[in-house]
Amino acid sequence: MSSAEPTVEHASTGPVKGILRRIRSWEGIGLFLVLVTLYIALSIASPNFMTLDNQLNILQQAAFFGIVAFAMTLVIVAGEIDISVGSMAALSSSLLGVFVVNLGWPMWAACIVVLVCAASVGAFAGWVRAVFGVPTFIATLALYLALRGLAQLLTNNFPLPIDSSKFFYWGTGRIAGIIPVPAIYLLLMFIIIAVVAQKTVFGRSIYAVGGNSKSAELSGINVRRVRISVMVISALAAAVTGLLQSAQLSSGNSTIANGLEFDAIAATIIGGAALSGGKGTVVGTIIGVIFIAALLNGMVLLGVNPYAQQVVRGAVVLIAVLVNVLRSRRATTSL
Amino acid sequence: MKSTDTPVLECTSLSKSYGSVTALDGVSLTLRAGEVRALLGMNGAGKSTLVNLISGSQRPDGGTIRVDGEDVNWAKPGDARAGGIAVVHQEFSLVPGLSVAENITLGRWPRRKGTGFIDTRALEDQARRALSLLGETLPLWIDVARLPIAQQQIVEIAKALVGDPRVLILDEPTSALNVNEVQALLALLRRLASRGVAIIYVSHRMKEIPLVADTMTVLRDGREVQTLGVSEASPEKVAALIAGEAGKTAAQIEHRDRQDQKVVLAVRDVRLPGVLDGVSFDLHEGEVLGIAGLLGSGRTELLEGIYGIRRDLVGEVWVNGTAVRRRSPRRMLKRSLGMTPEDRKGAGIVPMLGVGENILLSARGRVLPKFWITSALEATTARATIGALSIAASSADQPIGTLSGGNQQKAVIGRLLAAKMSVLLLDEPTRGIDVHAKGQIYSLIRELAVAGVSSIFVSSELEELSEVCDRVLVLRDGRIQDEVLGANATTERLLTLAMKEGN
Repeated sequence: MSSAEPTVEHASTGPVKGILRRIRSWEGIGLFLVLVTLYIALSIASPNFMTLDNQLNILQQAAFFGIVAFAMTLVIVAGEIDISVGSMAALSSSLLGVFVVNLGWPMWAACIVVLVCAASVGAFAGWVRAVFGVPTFIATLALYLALRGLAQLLTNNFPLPIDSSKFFYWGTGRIAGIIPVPAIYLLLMFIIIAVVAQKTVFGRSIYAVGGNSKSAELSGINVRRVRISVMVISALAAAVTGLLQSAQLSSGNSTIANGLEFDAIAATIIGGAALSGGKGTVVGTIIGVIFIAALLNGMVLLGVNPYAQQVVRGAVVLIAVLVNVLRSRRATTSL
Repeated sequence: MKSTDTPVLECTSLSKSYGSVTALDGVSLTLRAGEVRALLGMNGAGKSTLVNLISGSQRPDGGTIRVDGEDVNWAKPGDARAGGIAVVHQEFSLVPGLSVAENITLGRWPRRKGTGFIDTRALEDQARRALSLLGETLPLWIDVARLPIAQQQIVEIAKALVGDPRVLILDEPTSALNVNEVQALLALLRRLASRGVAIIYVSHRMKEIPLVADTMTVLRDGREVQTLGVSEASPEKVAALIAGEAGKTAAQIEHRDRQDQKVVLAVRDVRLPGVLDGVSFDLHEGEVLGIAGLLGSGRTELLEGIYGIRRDLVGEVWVNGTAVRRRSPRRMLKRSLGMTPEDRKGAGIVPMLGVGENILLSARGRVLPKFWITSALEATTARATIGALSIAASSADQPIGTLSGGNQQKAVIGRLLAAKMSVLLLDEPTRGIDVHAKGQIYSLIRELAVAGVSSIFVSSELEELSEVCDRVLVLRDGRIQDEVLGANATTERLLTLAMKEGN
């Protein structure tokens, strides 16, 4: 319980102590240590793990679900969920193929139209949630099926090859021959979404809506707009991922991004977000993203049976959820 | 049925303390079969404690309880149920997805022998029997959520009747019902009493008591004041008994008359079917206006309607001289009118966010920048509010859910102040907080009034109104029935007016 003592700010003596205190009070510290442990273990187990090349590989892999995971963090903090991201990515890729290959549109125009389509679908899901109270789990479950089906319908389930070396570069190129371009996207999106979450009125409103929507509404926050916006952001992130994978594969493809929703949600949960809303950080999520990417990469390097890899992924998510639950329970009992 | 000579329930000098607070001090109560006893008293008089002791949810510190002449000592509510005491609580405890029959028999579903399957026929029989005790028939397999509130209340009571209790306790059973439904419920209780069930009826509604009760017991400050027959009790007499000596005088504060100031909020002929029937009043600049009314009198609905949380309220609301149509919290906040909800935990705070952020929720985009957060500015605003309201928190980052109720409430009021609101609608701002914090909230509201902020103060604790308000309106039967100036607003007077029989 709170004491009746007057508030005294701890006088910070110098920047070093301030940083130290910040690190100590940082909730993600445990997660960070787990990540470090994983890195040490994998480095010992496989000599190829801790090479620069492999680490950049991990970043490139991470980009394919990390961008969605950051957006997913906002969705989950708002108390919603989006399981249609994989299908949205596939639809975006297919649309791109149809626009560029079948209709002969210029690449930039096709990309813009794809993003607009994605935003509309996201807005639709958010609208159904905000106005009719249909849970986003159900709304996006429907989209999960429908969007993938639409993608397959558009392409007949065949890849539509896009012949553009420039476009290929945006997916797999390396800056100065070293840094993979997708890694740049990953970091850029991380910065943008983390800043939005922490530093904008909109971002903080997401936390208020997810934490107690009733209170947010009474405080004059536009709850509907927040709910619709997070779904739009999520759909846009999925579309960007779809475009990125199209670039990597040089084709519009309706079979990509299977299970994208799993990795994105898993990274968010591992990063400490609560599915009940109101809690979670983008910084936590990027650690979750790197954790999953490193784990997958490490298991491949170690030659783990692919089926066993799935078991491990499932187990990791379950453990992460349990840790979160136990931690929040400890927090509430200590009140 | 036993002879009516042996009391069904006999409580002798029951006492109960919580820490240093004595909630119940030597209360005795004797109840005969078929008797309906009304239990009256202000909040904190000890009604709930008495009910909790009799129903076994708490154990007495001293005194004895006898059922049918035998001493009982219950460790948990289940024991009391088995011993023939059933309680219908104010909040519904029905499970929405289950049927009427399943709800009535909840927790005691009969099984087919040796299996885990429910014996549907036995279940139906139990449910039907409980309903027939009430003389009611309801469709047994309909989802209980699809019934109207009044019928849900019947299911609630039927649930308590499974297992033939000797004593039935009802805690404010009519607060959610309208006039006709109340009549039906009271008739039903009389019928039940005529079958020999003893009933304890907790209610504030003076009108209902002569219709249903034979006798009444008045509690004040944990003691029994008097037990009397309903025929000897006039509303004035009962009000005096409930309020006691302290209720005869208004609190000694400087009540000002602000009615010459400009009108900041005007409400005209506001209606809500079944609840409000044409309410009009003015709120002046710097005035604290109290609204007195019993539970279910429509106080909360009135505030929610003004603030635009509920859209089913018809009538006009003028803020600073302009009529506001299609009201919503956002629109009202734009006009500098804010509200603090009654349900602090569920609708007031965002528990996992810091005190500072909770304070800033309404200020952002209004007095603070719309898009980018300026950390320094936010920190200053939050700290200023925390300081001004002397909220006890280790820092602005401390999650508000970890603070005491009083500090949470101050922060919720602080949210309106940080957003520079000039008209405050405060719905039960002191509910569930300790005496010290209550005092702080009273003086806060007074200080704000001096600074020109107007407030509407709604409270079911009438003694509070005389402490803070310049003027008190009495809401009864959906209308403003009386207006009392702060200096004359004694608890006794307000209580008499609020309970009075309508014409």
